[in-house]
Amino acid sequence: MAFKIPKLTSFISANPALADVPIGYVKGIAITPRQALAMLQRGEAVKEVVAVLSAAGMDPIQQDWKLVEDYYIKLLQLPSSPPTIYVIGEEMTLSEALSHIQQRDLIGQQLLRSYQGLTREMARRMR
Amino acid sequence: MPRENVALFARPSFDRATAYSNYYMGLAAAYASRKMRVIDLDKSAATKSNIFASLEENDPIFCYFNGHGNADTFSAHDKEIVMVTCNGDESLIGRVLLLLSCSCGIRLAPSAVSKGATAVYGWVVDFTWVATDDPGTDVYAAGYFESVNAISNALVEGKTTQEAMDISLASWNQWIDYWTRSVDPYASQVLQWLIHDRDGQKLFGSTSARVSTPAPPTPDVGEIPVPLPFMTGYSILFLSLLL
Repeated sequence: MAFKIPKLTSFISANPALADVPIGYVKGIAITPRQALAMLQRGEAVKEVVAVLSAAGMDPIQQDWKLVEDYYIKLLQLPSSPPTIYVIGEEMTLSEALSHIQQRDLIGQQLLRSYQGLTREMARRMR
Repeated sequence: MPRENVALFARPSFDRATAYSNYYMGLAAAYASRKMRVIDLDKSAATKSNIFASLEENDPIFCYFNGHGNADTFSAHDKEIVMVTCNGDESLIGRVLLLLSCSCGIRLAPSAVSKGATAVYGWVVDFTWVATDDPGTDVYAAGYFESVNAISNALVEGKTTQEAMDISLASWNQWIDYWTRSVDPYASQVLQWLIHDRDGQKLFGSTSARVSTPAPPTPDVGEIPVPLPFMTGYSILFLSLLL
């Protein structure tokens, strides 16, 4: 386990943009790489945290739906003014995106797939 | 046979989203005009009839089109349908097409290639980006469109279709690396869609086609070719020392 701490520390310092993206659940709570590092440093739920880090980017679909929802909720809680999501000929706010995710409709499915691409990239950079 | 060094751009602008693609395609059109004859159907000029008239009249080897689309449809200004799978795509025979439009890579682009288009770049996903400011100043949007324009710019410089694809993918990766290092609160959102668009970008058809003649390589500083007489002279001098 000890090797995870320096690895995670260097991941966060090299990829600050990805440090606060939810990657898995520990005791029912979504955790980010930054939170995972803090938990490992405190020696808290070490087994579960290591399991989350090992499975990052390979979660079952039901869990990914929850994660992408948590991710957009986190984005909406940021204090600065959020960007708009554009598709050629269309546009969508972050809260509209969240609503599509919650409804799990066609656009929600696209948002999920694109979020899975992001977590796969995170997993690649963490290994 | 389409004319080499002739390019047709169709870049509608009818809402906030197309204002971005229109702006960036304008930069690509200006770049292309340095080496090619460019027909630029800008904003409301990007109609179906103008596009087909220009294909007929100018016979461009390279087309860079933008507009709303799906797996079977490409549309131009005000979402006027220009092409659907198996109807209209035969007009692309012998041409290289960059189709900046959602999901056309699923069926329309392969169909165009099967009808004789030399090569088509398309997306198998909905091309998506994030932005906050106006197109000319927005920091989030630049990476998406510059990576697509990298295809056009490379083709203009005489690169092959595959080389242009590789240059574009390298651009996507550079932007992804740039944003992973960012502490901007929305950097992960920018990244999410950069990865999405990069992974959805496909090249169909020929990997070795060119739309313009490559410029002869210019020597870098320190690599100025030494004239042959000097080389011969040095060789003779060296040989005479050995004997």
